[in-house]
Amino acid sequence: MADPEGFLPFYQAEAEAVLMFLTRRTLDGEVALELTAETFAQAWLGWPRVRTDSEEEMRAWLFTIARRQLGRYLRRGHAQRDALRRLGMQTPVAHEDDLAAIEAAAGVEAVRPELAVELERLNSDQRDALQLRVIEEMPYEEVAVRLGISEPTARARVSRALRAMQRSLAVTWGGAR
Amino acid sequence: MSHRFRALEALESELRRVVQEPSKPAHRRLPAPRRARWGLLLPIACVLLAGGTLALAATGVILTGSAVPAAAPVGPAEGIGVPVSSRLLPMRAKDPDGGLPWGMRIVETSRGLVCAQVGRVDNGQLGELGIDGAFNNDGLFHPFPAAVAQSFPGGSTEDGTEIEGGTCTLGGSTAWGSAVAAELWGIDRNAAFAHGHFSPKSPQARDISYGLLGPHASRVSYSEGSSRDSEAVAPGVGAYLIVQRAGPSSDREGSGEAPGTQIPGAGPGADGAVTSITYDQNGTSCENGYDARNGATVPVAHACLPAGAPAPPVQATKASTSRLHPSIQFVVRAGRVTAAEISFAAPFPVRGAAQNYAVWSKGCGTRGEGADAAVFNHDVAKGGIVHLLLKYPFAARCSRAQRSVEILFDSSAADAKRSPGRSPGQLLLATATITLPRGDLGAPAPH
Repeated sequence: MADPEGFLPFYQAEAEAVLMFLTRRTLDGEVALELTAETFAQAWLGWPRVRTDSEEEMRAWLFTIARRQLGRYLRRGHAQRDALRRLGMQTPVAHEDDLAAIEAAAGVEAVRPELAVELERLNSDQRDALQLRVIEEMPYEEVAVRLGISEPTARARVSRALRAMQRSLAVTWGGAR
Repeated sequence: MSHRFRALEALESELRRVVQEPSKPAHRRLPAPRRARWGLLLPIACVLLAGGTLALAATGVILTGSAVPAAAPVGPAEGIGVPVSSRLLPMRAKDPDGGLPWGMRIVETSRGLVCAQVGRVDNGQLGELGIDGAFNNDGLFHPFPAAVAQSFPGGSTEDGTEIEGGTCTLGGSTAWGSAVAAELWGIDRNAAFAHGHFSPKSPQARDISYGLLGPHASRVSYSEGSSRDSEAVAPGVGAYLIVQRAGPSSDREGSGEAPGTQIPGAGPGADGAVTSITYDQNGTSCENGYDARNGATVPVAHACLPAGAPAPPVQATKASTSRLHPSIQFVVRAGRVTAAEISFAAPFPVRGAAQNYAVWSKGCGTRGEGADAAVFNHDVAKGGIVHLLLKYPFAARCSRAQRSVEILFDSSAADAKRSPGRSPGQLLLATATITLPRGDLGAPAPH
């Protein structure tokens, strides 16, 4: 069983890598932060079941959780919060400058031109939602108003578009975490 | 330690608070797995540990160890519910290295979910193998417990679909999500989804494509290296199971799924190795073709026609909205509001996983700050009380005093109504503004 005292150093060592991994796959620092928080909340709940001291194996386990969170987000259109709720945790509120720094560090800006090309492959509903959210960086509320749909629907369209593009995004990032 | 981003500092503070809380139930040490009675079995087990596991397994001689530990169950009326029936399908898939075959069982739950779970099969039971680090390499077969466990402790009860080694769909009478094509990638050949050693990719990793496509599906085609192959699905449920060595992109264990309906034109997209799904309905045949691994459309002879979008019936919308009178109570700690509890009498019953009540809190400011949601994923009778807890409603800088929320009823039932402009089955019951009581302060999100 992993030592409970080892969890915070584990978080300190891996948090940024997880945040970057998720930002590069959602192109959205805010969503990535929500997913990162849920990932570590689930990791803490699963910590007693970790039976290895290998850093490599623990990292693999953590990224397995992160990928599952990402998968659920891409299917459902919103970040899951079950573990956070169960632990009574709150996702940190990130301020605009912090979010900008996260997205800059992840290199999201650089991929936007390529993304615009990939958008052409999507159906029009998903393309419009992704265009407004990721290229034009509008808040979801405004995306919803512009498209005449509810905010949850706007989130769902963006996440489904990202899911449809995830293979090409993986190529774009060259396998980078 | 300081992080580059303030948000990660804040998250660390939250985790520190939780980690330092004593006696969290989830952190009681798990009991040691029960052992098989050794005695006469010990010499045989030694042979297994010496490398004979798979060879013996191939001949059907493998010993059974303790059952896979069941995760903490949820109640029959919440989350995925509890099993009400379970059957192992007769289909088997060979493992590339031989040994016990792979199989699939279907578990129906008290909340109307139909779950497909994959594992190794021995003597009519589905389970995991004590090899490659799982179960301390005891070389034994460990049957699954009757209960299906969600993927991780604290795993989602919100979507309620992912379980250990499988996935769940809604029952066939629902309008959406009643069929699924799914993939488990980069998993260990021991099928020890959450009980094994968490290991990096190994030559023993497997990619598993499986699904439940419904009664009209007849066949799936799939890629096998550079060639194509096909197999008939199990009649009735439309189940299929394909086990392959992990591909180069399966560097981590993971899972994905493509939900759809049992109607051919609205069936799930192909996922994993599957490249097309063939349906037979009313004497005609059609196919859906798509390669999820490279995003390419796969040409098919007779493409299934897209199913028509359901007309949006809206007649019940106004009536239901006017009946809803939510009451809002605040949870106050140390003089600050930490949560808003929204309660109301359920205008519609929830009788399973196909329905839920939710509250959405809209974001504010230029980045949609503070957007949040809470879901009530329990059965409730019509008129029963629904409680939705929205945490830290006044934490965002742009919503220190007021918060707009939407209360929704989401249903995948075939006759579900929807409000104009909403997703199928989504009914807007009420909009409300939560106002900070005079004299109180909103609690900031913990830092």
